Amino acid sequence: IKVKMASKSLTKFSPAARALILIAQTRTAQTAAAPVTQKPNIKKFDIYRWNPEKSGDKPKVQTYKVDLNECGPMVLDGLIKIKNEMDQTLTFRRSCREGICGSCAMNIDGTNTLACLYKINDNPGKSVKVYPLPHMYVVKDLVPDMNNFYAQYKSIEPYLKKKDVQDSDVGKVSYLQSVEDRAKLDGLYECILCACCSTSCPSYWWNSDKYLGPAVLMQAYRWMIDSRDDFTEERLAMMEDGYTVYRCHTIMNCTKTCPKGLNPGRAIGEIKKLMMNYNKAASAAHK
Amino acid sequence: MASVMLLKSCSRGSRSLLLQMRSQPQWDCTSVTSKPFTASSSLAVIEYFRARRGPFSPEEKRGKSHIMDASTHWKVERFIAIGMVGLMPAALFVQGPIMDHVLTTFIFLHGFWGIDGVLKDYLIKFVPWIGKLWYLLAIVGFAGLVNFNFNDVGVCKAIQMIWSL
Repeated sequence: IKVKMASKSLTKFSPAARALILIAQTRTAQTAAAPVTQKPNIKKFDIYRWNPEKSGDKPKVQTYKVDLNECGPMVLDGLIKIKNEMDQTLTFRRSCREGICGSCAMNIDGTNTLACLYKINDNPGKSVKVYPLPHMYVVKDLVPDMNNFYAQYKSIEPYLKKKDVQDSDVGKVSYLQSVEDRAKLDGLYECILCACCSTSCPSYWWNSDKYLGPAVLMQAYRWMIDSRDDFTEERLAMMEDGYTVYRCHTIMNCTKTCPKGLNPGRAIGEIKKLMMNYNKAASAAHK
Repeated sequence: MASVMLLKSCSRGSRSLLLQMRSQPQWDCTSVTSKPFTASSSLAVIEYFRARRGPFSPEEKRGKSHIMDASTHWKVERFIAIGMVGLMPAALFVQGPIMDHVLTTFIFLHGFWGIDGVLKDYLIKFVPWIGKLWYLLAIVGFAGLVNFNFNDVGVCKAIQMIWSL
């Protein structure tokens, strides 16, 4: 162990700091002496490709080889590396690279997750299979058409609605909420609308035009139980048909696949419970 | 502009996009959503199996006439499902015309609403009249069962007879 600093000067530090400095010096010496070349760890990426702008193009799976020693640990790192170094035309959505924006939602190794949070599997023989979100119209390569999903989100009116508040009074007084009422929103507000859950639901696959899907339903529930919102009964009345919420058969793929660890299946169950005994007369005006 | 046309055709499938791209110079920008030039039989097939239709208004989703609200219907469905858990063992001890009618009604409604749900999930969007056909079949079936309960041995006795074969 080569002590770079004179031992006399080390004594001015606390024992803990001294130990830390010695560790750092040892480690830098070791890594400086480490060999530069490593055996390349090649991983195959099987990625769904389709370009509608190329006439007559059919969807196919293209294989790329990535050296994992030169790549970050997440699938998104691999995709960016492929796009930068191997194939510029690979198209996918991405933004925050930290699992908060929801842009990079895709089907990886059979699971709907965020590419920026899903580690490249280290099984040496297997490839990483990257497909777009299932049963969504594909704009190009891994980019799904989210317009139906967003329209459904808009339809549940995901904003605070109050009764007996004039437009002129908005913003004057803050709407207070108890700690317990605020705690009811935990596990609901964190949804980033990545659509992983909705696109994992078979009911949503077969009826995405009429069934809202777990993501949107969880947000509907989030507004139903917000104590500051006055339109709970009307929001429940919006669900009064055979399709909007009642196509859920508690398959629970949604909760299993949520990359943020949320529980849309439970939220839908709570909606059904609320629907059992809410005051329908109060919402008659909504119809 | 190309991306807007791309997105607008997304919900109509890739085939319509290809047809659009080919005949683009003849069209002006406002006719993106109009019908494509050629009406080949394969396009008709694609349209028939279209996954996403609509958009549907709340009135369309609700349907024309219902005996119960959807939430009440759901409540009754679960009540009958849980009720059967108690009813079936009870039928081992208590038989008679009342048990006949109650058992028939519970099991029949459970099965009818169950198949109705299956049809709603998979078939109704392709074959809209299948729901009405099932309803018709169910009425005939229920009439037959009620007749069996009244003018014949009744379901409890019938099960006993089958069991003793």
